[in-house]
Amino acid sequence: MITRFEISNYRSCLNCSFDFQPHLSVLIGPNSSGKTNIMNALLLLRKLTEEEHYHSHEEEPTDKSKLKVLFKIGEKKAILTATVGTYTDEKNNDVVVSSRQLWYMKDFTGNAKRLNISLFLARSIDRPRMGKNELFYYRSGYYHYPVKMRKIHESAWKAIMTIARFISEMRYYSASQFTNPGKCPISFEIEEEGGKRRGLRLYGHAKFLYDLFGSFKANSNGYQQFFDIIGPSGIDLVQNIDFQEIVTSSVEYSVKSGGRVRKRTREKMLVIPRFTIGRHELSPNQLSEGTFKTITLLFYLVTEASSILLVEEPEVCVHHGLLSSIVELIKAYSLNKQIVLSTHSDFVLDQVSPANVYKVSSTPQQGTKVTHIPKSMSKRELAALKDYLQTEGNLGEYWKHGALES
Amino acid sequence: MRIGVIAEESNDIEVLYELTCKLIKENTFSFRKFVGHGSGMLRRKCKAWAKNLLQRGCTHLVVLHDLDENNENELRLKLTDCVQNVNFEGYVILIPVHEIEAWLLADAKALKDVFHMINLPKLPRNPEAVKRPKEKLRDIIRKATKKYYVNTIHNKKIAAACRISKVKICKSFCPYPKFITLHTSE
Repeated sequence: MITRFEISNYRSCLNCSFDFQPHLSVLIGPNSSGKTNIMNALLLLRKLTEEEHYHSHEEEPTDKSKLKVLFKIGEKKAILTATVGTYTDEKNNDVVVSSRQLWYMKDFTGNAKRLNISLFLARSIDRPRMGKNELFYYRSGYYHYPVKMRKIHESAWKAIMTIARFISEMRYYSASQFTNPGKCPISFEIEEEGGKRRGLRLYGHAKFLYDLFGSFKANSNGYQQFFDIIGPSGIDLVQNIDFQEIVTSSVEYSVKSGGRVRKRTREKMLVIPRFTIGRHELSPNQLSEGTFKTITLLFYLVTEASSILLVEEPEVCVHHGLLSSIVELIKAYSLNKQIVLSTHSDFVLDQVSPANVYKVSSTPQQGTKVTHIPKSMSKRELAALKDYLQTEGNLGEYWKHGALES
Repeated sequence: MRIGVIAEESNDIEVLYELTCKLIKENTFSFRKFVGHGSGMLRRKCKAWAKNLLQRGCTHLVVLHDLDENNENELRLKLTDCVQNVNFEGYVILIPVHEIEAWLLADAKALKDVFHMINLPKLPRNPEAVKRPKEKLRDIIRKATKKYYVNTIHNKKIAAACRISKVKICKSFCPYPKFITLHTSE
């Protein structure tokens, strides 16, 4: 797990550090204080497992940020210091241009010498679904590294691969990703090629439907749990979810040199999701925003085998009764994965402990700062808070009525 | 001097803070607060909040509650009852007539400076006689500048520009400078 995260020179995070809770960390703070930037910095870390300087020939980096992350594996710790060159594209996504990653692995190697290994390499070699040829390529690439690289302590190498997998499994949910279900497609296509099925250019609402369909077809434990929660035996948000599948095929002809005609049959599947609410069968674009957002959040919370889940504002468009259940589920699932949640809701705060809460603030001079609520208080103030929570009211109320502000 | 403040709205506390800075040096005091977001919550929670502020190390307490349509004596009695048995070194209950915005209607120069008016606005001689001082402020500012007045944004700025000598024409404000003078000379 991640125990500490330090960010320098990344958006509003000029010099910001954040000690994670092992299970649930809740960020509160005014708009523009930097909560989303902290989440984006974590996602930047994930990007380092996905590509390696792919865009380095396209543009110079406009920012050089430093990320320092403390991981804990069992009782041992590992520290990654990454200097990352990025620019921001027109969709406000970070594009990694360059990075240098150094590992401090003394607990594994017995010495303080830094190891220069990229998360992308560690992830590539560890990737379980690589085909035989790809695996050979990457392994042979590894074997062609300078000899000294092969002297990496095996336990250190395994730890780095574990960490790379952990980071690559990071998932992000934001209410803003799923606004306006009216824009959600009523159906989507899956193409079969080379024995594999894949979605055709799916993102946002459509990607969720594709993931939901995949999980439904696999009939995994995760999907069963998910449906138990949202269905009639749980919060009764929907009565049923099913998918109509229509297989279509198309034939393509191409002419090769010599006049040979090649015929290629492509099979596609048209998938039509249906949600039953009450007596009505609805397409996804007919769901209300609150229902759609709740289903997506709970789906990714319950079924995704994510190691660390970032959730922004789960309270948006959700009735307080349902929100109560959502927060309880988040707390339950935080026992299996690290969850970082940001919220503006005093209702959400009512249901967590002060030990889980971090105040995020920002000034032009210092940028974003994160303060753990209990650590920011004197003994006397902490005792007063505890007394208040026992005798008078809840944490959300304490916050809403200004008592957490200095 | 750590002062506990219980008020109806955040911007009431901001106004009080700015006015306190004109009475004593900013580095000699700090505020700890509870905001009612309405008079009902304030009255219901006043006693508990006062106790909590004492536990958090506040030595003095200010309770700030607009008069609105209430009877002043009854309101003062209710609020006193909530706080008198909590062991502060001193407390004061301020009941602006009819709203705290009356204090901000006292200094024409403050309004001129904050809203960049060309001329000094004409203000009522007795701001506390104005039944709806917030709306009065809004109308004066709109007429003079065509700008919108928003109490949650502008009250703090107006208070920062006010002269205490002018605000003192509001009788409901007068107990506060006396309270501060008394307890900072101890």
